[in-house]
Amino acid sequence: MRKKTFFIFEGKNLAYALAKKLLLLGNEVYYISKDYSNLEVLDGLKAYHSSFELIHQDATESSWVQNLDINKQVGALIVLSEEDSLNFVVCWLLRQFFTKVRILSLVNNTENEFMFEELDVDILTPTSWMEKLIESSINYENITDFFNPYMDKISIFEVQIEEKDSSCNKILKDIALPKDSIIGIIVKYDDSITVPHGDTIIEKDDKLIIFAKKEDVQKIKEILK
Amino acid sequence: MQKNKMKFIIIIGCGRLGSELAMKLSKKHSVVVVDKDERSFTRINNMNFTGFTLTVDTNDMDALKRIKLKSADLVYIVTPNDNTNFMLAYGIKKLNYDIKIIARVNDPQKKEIFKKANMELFCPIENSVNQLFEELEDDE
Repeated sequence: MRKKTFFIFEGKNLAYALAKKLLLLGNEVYYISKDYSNLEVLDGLKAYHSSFELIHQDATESSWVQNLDINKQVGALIVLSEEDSLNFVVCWLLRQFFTKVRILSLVNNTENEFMFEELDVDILTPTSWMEKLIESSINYENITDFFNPYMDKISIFEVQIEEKDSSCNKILKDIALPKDSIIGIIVKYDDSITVPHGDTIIEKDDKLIIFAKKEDVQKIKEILK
Repeated sequence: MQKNKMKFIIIIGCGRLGSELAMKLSKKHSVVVVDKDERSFTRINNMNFTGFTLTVDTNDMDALKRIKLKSADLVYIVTPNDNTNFMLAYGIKKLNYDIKIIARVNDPQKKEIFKKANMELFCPIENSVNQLFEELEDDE
């Protein structure tokens, strides 16, 4: 991944976790908050990451936003406070000056989503995700881990096929995968999704979503690549 | 404002400013005061407020659907939070109600963004400062 610059506005623990992740991937991160207690939460990251910068600033101040250095290197502007109205004002203001850049915002109350969509902001709504998780665990009593209840035994992983790979242009049934593993879904280059059968040909740029036992993952990767 | 014509006015935020405004306007107009906290109506109820009060969570835009915006002539948005005021004013505009909206700006430095969004605003602090300044000028 090419190095990018990310601006994170406000937020506490979520901002910390995200900044850390982005820094570990080799990106440059700026964290902006008007609140000293927030800045203190993220201050620890400075010790290990030289490409991390803390800025004490009220991001609803128009003149400051206007002078932000938003260039091609910017991956996204991410707004994470727990107050929707603050997020909205920051997003709105950023959008006034930067029409093309990607903006993501936390939306705490789902009822406010339409306001952000209007600004062409990608919205993050953990509350509705959690609602769905809890709902599904109530409906299907045993499934508490929504995505993969057997995660200690089974892996769901993705393999991207390149031209040089040994499985490229081969028919699925000619590829001998370990017992009890299966290619569940193939995502084609144009993001269309197919469920493969024995005669399906694996092509360049396919993404294979594979279900397998934990211990077989490495072996499968070697067979396909 | 036209004389003798009764207007339907909504006031969002029932703090000191909102409640004083409501008391004054309700003498001639039909007034609904909205606040997210029921307790904030104690003040106007003690002053024998004759209009209506409505408890609605103004942090969430769903609130706007609960308020009878369509029939309103004028909306004052006077909560102590500038961000909330901005979002509410913007939301009412977006919902395409043809109503006159006047928003309170608490921090004079935030005036700029309200202006940028073409919102009608008033800024009590700035007004007070101007008033004090003028009084000083008059004394000299």
